[in-house]
Amino acid sequence: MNKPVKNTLSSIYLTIIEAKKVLNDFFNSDTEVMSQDIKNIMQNPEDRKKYLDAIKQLKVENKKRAEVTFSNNEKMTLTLEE
Amino acid sequence: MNLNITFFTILYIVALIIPGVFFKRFYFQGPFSKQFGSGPFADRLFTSLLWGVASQFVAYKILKDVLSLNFDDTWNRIKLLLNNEIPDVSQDELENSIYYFFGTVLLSMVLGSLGFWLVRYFKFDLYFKVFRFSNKWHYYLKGEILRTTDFKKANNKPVKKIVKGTLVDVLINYGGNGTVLFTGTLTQYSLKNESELETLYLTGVSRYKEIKDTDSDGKITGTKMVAKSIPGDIFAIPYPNVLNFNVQYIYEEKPYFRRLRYFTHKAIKFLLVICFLIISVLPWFSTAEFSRKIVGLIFLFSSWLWIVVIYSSTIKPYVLKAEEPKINRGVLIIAAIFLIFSLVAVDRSLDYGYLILVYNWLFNVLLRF
Repeated sequence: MNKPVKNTLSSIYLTIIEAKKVLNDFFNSDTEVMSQDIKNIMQNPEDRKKYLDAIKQLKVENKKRAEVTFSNNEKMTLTLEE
Repeated sequence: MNLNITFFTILYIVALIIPGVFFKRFYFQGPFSKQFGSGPFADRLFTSLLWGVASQFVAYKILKDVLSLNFDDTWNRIKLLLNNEIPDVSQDELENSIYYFFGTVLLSMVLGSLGFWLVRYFKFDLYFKVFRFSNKWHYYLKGEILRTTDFKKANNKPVKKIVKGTLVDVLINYGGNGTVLFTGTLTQYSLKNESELETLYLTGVSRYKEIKDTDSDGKITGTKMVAKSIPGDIFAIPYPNVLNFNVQYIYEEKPYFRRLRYFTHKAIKFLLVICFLIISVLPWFSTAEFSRKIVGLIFLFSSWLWIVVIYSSTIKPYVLKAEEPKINRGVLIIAAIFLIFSLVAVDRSLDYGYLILVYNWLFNVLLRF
């Protein structure tokens, strides 16, 4: 398969993925205890460990905030203080 | 007379109660589904009847105003029935009645789902008590209680951060005077009935254990509680064993640019939802045939979707990266092609004629050059 066709197919695939995200964001009534971000994190064992370790730092080690960098380089700063 | 009573009982159940029951089944979803079968029988019957009447009214308005059906003949037949006379019904009319019944059931499902989505999306259940669902645990365990008007008044401070998860400390009775304290992230819970907890499901659980505290010389100075991790994926706690539990919300701190993007996204999303609701009713006012209205509606939704995809691909509201994400031009081009195709399909199916106007305008512009 030549490169332009491959790029077009990849763009179509990414567009459909984006459309799926949009539909999920707009029409999901968000009734689960965990937010969608956290559910995605929990599905990846490596990210799940990082997230739970961050929670442990906050709860057991009484840290004010914990920054987590996930496997896809996305960052999240968590805190237990409002 | 007996025939009349029997007929009207069947008509009442088929035409009003069944659509009402389906409306409620689709309105009480997810953690609120237990509310569907709760309450006294008379209350459930009355609410089913109420929503059944509402569904029938919407179905009647659609058939009368959108499909321009004449109901005079139907009213005449109902009058005959009221006078203890049996009207003539052809096979086609009987078939149409069956289609109408299934149509109203389908409509009730759509209205129930739409009602639930609207209440949850616009957070009517948080701002108005009348819309609040009876599962109070959902509001406490998900942190939505912080956004209710009652809690805001009591707490006297606005909630700025976003609740991402819930941490619980659960004190469990182990028989006799033995108690154990566990802490972990709440992943799920189940209910026994509409408002009573049955089981709590935690992950990343630690058990607090009392150990002897020693000073630098190794001398025992007292005792202290230390948390020991429990290996495993899910830790289930039956609620009858719980003495009490403490809830702590996990908030996400957003850097300024992400906060700005989040609130911009919220505002744009609100406008896009309003647009979605407007386009849901738009085709029904066109003069096109019913089948073309349906096709037009599908392509209107599709146009809306590709507009949102173009917006979300540019703003990237779902990305958590600290730095601004790159825009994928390929996605933008494909979404724009899909959008143009959908708009052309809308114009053709609903006979709006905008396509010809655009074509004429472009033709005139080109002629000038």
